[in-house]
Amino acid sequence: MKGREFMKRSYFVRCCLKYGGYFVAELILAYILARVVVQGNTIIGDAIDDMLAGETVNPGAFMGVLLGLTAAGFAAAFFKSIFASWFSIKVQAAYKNMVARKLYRLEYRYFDQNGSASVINKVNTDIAETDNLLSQNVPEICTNLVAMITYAVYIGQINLGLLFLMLICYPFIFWFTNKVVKKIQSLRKVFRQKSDIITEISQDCVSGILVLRAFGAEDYFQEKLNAAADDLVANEAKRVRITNNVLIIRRLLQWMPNIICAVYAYVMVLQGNISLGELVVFLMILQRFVDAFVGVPFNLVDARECMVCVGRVEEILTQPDEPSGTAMEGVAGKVTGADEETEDETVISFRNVSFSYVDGKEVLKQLSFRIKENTSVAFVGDSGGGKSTIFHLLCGFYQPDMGTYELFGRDFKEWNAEAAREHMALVSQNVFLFPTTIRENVRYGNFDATDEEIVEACKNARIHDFIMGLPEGYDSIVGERGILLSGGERQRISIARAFLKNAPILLLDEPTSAIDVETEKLIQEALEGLSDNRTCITIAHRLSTIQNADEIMVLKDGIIAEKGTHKELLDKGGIYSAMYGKEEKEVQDEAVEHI
Amino acid sequence: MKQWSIFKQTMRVMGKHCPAYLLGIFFMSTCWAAFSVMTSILLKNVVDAAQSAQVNRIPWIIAGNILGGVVILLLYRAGAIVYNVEAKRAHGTVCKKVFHHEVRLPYAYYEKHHSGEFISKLSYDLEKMGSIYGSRLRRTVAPILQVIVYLIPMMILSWQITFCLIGVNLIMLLINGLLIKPIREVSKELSETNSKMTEKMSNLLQGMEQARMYRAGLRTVDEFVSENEKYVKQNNKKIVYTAILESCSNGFDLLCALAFLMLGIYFVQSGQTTLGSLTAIYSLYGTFSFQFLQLGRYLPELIGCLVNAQNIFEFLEEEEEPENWYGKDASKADGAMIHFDGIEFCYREDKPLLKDFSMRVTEGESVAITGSSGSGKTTVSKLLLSLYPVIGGEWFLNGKSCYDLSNSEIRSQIAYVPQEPYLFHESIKENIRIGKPDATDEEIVNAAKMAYAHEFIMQLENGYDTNVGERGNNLSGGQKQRIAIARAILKEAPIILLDEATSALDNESERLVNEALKQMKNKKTILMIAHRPSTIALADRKVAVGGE
Repeated sequence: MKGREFMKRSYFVRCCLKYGGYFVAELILAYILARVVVQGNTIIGDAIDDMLAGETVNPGAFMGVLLGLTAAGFAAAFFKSIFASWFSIKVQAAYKNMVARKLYRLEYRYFDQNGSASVINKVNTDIAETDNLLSQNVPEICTNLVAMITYAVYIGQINLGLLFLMLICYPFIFWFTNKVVKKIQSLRKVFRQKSDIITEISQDCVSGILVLRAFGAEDYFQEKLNAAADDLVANEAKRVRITNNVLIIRRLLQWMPNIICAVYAYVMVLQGNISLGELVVFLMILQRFVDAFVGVPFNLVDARECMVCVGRVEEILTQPDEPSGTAMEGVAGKVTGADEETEDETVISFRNVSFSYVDGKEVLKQLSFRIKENTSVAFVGDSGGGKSTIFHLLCGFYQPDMGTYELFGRDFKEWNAEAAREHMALVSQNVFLFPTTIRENVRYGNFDATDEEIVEACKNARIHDFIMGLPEGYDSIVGERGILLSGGERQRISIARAFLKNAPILLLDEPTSAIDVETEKLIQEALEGLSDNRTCITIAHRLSTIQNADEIMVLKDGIIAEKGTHKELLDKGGIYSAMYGKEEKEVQDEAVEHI
Repeated sequence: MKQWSIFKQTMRVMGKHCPAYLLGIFFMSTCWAAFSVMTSILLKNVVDAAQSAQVNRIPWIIAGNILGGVVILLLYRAGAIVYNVEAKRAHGTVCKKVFHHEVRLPYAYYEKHHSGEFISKLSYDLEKMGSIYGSRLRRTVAPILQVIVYLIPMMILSWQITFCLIGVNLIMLLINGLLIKPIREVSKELSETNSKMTEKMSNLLQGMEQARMYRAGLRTVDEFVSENEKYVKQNNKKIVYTAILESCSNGFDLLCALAFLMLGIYFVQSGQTTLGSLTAIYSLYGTFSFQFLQLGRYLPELIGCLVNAQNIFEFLEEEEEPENWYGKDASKADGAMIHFDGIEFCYREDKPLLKDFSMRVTEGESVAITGSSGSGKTTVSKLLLSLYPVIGGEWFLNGKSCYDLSNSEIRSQIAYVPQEPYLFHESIKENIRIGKPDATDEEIVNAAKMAYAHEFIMQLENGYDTNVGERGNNLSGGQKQRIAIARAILKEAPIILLDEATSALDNESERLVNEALKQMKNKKTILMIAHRPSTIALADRKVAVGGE
């Protein structure tokens, strides 16, 4: 059974069970509350009977009891609400923490495959839905269910026939809600899609405004948007017809027991089976009963919708974790800092590594290379040649399909992933800056760093002067996704992070897009300082920056086509020298251009 | 009453549909309440009949009741349908208006505002404004209407009891009112913490690569967890407030029953009311009191949304790009295809960009515009597309002065290929068709062939109907660029303007694009902004911008 499997393995259910005590307390209090209502009404009914029997009713006689019941009701409602909230809040908190921790451990592949935007969306909207489920749906279902059962027992005590009569239409309500809800859901989906189209068109058009305007395509897209908007109205007309039919039928379903039972009760009063007082109480309770009674199936439908969202979160929670071993250091204790002067030690080695993101499309084919300590190595080659993939493997974001990757003489599989990454600093081309101060952003390199160390790192990264020029200096907040800073500035902040981390291996992914000459010079200087006494691995998009590398590896179609120093490769006259010749010519032409 | 005038403006958007919409709200609200009244009347009649042991009246009572109920429900349905449809229509109208406006602003607006930001702000405001039509207004008005509908029969049944019930309800409303402010404050705090948590989570996800490399992730997770704990603690206050509210509403429910009983017994005994009326009032009381407590509750939300509506109206007042920038008369005519004569231009007054720039291109010529980055190459293309007015000087297109030409006339003569080929989120065919909206499929295929795009398009699974994905992400840079060129070819404009069209391409793609360009040479006037020698080589001559 799918359902049972879900119950057993679901993280959500586990969270709920953990705080089950609150839930039980909530149920008990809901029962007490319902009992109080029944009890109070019974007293009223008796009084009415007494009155009709011609006795003078003395309110003082049952006043005390009623006040006591009211007090009990106050208290029960108060604590019921508290327990319900506690349950909901605690389960949510536990569940959210679970998701947050999971996201950090999740295999990197998941983000690549799903796109981080969609994962964010999933996490935010679906967890919010969980919130609805716990804080609204579940308490409602409980209250309604408990009330319904309590009232049903009471009505059964007055007369079993009445109860039976009311229960007859129940299966019908379930059948009906089930049937209609599906239809409504699909219409709601269409509605969402259409509204999305409208936002999408706007977004698309404004992002491409240059093209839109150059081609005078405003009217073309206006028509499309109008059509979507009109569709939306048409769809709404359809949807509202159906939802209103549902609403009306629901109202009728609530109404029917009223009519049938009222008449039946009336007949029984005439026959003398129940007293007039009982009739009045019955009619009073009836209203509450029917509300709860019809509410439950609809509550369940809502809950089921929320459970779909829970299911999507569960999907994240059940993804495999990033593989991580236990080894905290390399073989032969080679984990000391970058200062160590031992020459010719192999830091990284790839042996026959093959890798593919998608089955059948090999990106790396039987790749082998060694990188020695304190050398600088550059990877060049066309995009799609596998340069970025090598970085993904080096960082342990992906694992080789075949072959071995050793870091400090130890197979990466045995490494604790975090410990391994402690040895690397990554300067990536799309630098993500957290929306906080510049100081904090640099501090990500090393959380124990003092402010002085941060300033030092920024000086080394040639970004200090820029930062001091900002009105708030190091305390300037970078905008969402670091929008306020240019690519070059972000790059240098990322370099400062790397300085601060002071790791022995430096992974450098050069920016593809051209930066102005002045900035490029600054970045170059900063990088030269950074690569001193470190093992430095570069992905290069322009060859001018890597001519001093100790070794250049030219990747083509997933294999190393050529390797050697700049000079060796030029002499060889292969792919590299062709690439170099072409770039050189452009640079010269451009230089001529500027004269 | 600023809000009132925004509200009126919001209603005016609906135009002639407004009365129908308001009637819809009226019928929805009143009929919903009237239906409860019908039920309570039934109960009254049943109890009265039982008390007086009358048998023959019952079938009539029931028949009358059912008939009344059905009529009321049908009226409700009609109201609801009109209301919902008109609400969506109004929302749609606003969307259309906003879109119409947002693609017609002066180009400078888009350069100044980050597109993602202003669009997402607009769609947020639009959604909020739409919710005025779709729910907020009705929620505010409905309780008032419903309370009135309930009060009428209750007063008739027994005004004495009704007054007492209103009294108890007023106390409840008071307690509600007292608690609303602290609850709102706590909720605000909570939602702040919550959005902080969401932000933490988003940061973690967006910066996942660095989060893992720098152990920042673990820290973010820890921060999230502690933020979460804070959230739980903050909730305690809210939990108590809600519990007080809930226990009050339940307690007062019981208290009302008590008051009701005491008074009821008194009034029935003294013959001022019947047992039936008592039952009817009691059955109405529950829903009445619920609606009574909703009075005024949704008003703050409505007012909040009016702020969003105001934002939309303000946006709609932003000036659109004029038909023509200048409103001056042409000084002379000129026979060249393109002639820039002593153009002055700058984005900011303290930074002049083009000074006395002149350029003359005759028909059929291919000209490369060169210059270092920041010299104003791309600006020349923006001026040519008339995205900005020139500050000094005058330029001529196909013999006519820019003073005499409307922006759309200027643009219709230029087929533009941008540096970053922007593809819209639709099929390849539709993307090419933007060049000429009424083009036949055959024309599209021909254009694609000329742009060396046909072959790769045919290799795609769905050919020309392949959706290019968001911003054309499903295609490579070279493929996108060739589609953009096909689009330009399809336009059949006399001038082709390329803005560094090959700068981001690999060698093979560049070769193909250059092939495509060669084919068009001499047939069209080609203007290319370029820095690659291979591209410049295609041109007949070069014009340098920003010579210093």
